Amino acid sequence: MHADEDAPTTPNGSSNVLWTPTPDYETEEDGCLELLTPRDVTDGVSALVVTFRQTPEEVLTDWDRRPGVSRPRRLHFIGAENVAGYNSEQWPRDGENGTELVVEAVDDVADLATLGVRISSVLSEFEATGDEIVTYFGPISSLLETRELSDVFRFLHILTGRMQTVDANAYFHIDRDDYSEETMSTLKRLFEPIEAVETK
Amino acid sequence: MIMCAYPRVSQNHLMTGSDIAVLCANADPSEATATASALADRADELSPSHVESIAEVKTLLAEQSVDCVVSEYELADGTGFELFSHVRQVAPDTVCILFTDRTLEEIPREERGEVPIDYLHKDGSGPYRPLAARIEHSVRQRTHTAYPLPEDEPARLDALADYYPFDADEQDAFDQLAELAATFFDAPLAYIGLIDAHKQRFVASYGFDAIGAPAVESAPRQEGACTYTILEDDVMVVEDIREDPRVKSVETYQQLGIRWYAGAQLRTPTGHCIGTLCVLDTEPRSFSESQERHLRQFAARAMDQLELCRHLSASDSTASAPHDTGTEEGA
Repeated sequence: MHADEDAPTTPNGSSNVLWTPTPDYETEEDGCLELLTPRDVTDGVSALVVTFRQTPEEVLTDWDRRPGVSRPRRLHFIGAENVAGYNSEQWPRDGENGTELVVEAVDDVADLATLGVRISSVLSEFEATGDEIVTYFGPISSLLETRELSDVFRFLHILTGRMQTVDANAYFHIDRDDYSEETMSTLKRLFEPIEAVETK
Repeated sequence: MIMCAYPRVSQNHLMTGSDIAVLCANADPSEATATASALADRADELSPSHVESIAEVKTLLAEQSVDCVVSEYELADGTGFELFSHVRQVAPDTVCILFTDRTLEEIPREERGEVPIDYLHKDGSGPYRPLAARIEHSVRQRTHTAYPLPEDEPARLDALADYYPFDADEQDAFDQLAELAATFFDAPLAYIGLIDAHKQRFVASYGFDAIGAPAVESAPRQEGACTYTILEDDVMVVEDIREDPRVKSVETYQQLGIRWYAGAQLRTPTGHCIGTLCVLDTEPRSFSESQERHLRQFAARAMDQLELCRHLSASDSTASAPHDTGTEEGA
């Protein structure tokens, strides 16, 4: 896939999109990276990547190898220390290759209180810059493996509400095939329709 | 949280008022007062009051409803996280915002609790305008619920206000309908409930006393399958509650050994779903299409009864209203 021609476009006016990977992408996160990088605009973009499956190094490597896709001005990673390979200590906090880079982590992905506070803090910082805010969160599956659906729903409900208050374009990744119809139909009500994300 | 049993219509008002009740908690009374005062100055729709302790909040929540709790980390008898944990138990839909000058690193991990909340850092300039905006958005959009809301929720609540509360003289008709539904479907339990902004209010029930359920008038919306039934287009059946991620952790079902649920919507003539009629069993079971059709018919009869109550209530109001003299007051 060539990024310039085939990158997915964001639906107009939507703040929260439930993203499910399609076979078009080499890795599940590839599609979201393109969604997170608005075409031709990187200076005024702040990106928050909350990832429980990839390390920051893997994400940045994927980001840099994609033609026509630039890093945003500010890039903030939040992961979980109990996810394999995520070590926030090894990263600089004062920038890398022109990008203001921050990497941090919560101790446990099941700790939704801490995770929510961290994300809310970052969104407040981004909002103060006046930048366009883009966010990747996922996979939601990591939360559902450790917490009840009602807890995850409340967490995501608060989080999607926060995204609306800062006008963020947020993409929430879920592995659709792993979950029951009941789980999917419940979560989908928080988001713009999955079908709203199209390939150009 | 215990659900069901001898329901009687509560006279509690529906939470459809426009003012937003905000509780500001802070161990420092002057800080608590300052936050409440600043919020009142910045948004006309906010109605803030202030407290210093968790004990005060417990007392207040037992007596009145609150839309939002804004708490500092440190309180007179505990922490903001302990306060939020209590609020989530007794009034789970309440918007909870930690508003503190402490960073996360300054709060011990073991004291943070497990309940999802919102957070706003209180810097030196006192970000009361963002706090007021956050409160208004969260309360109006109901972003702290643990369950999805129907797309027509505001109109649905408006419609419900026409039917509830109803005249207690009509109670027997609903009780008989619940018993008849349980008997017809050979189920030990049945009830009719109306779903308001935060609670399911039980209009009638059958069989709960026989399995030792305590008598309650209402239960939080998140504590039952009916919350999901009103989202559906038709009858909802949960063949085995322990296998359904939406309801398997509902404490009441676990305590009472309830394993099966089938619910049909109470839909008004204007198309809004205001409640359910449902049957339950302590064993998993299936439900045929013809049984679904019959359950739908039972629900329609319950709705007919509610409609009758509404008409009677409207007639009474008209009869007792002062006669219009055709002269405008003060003219």
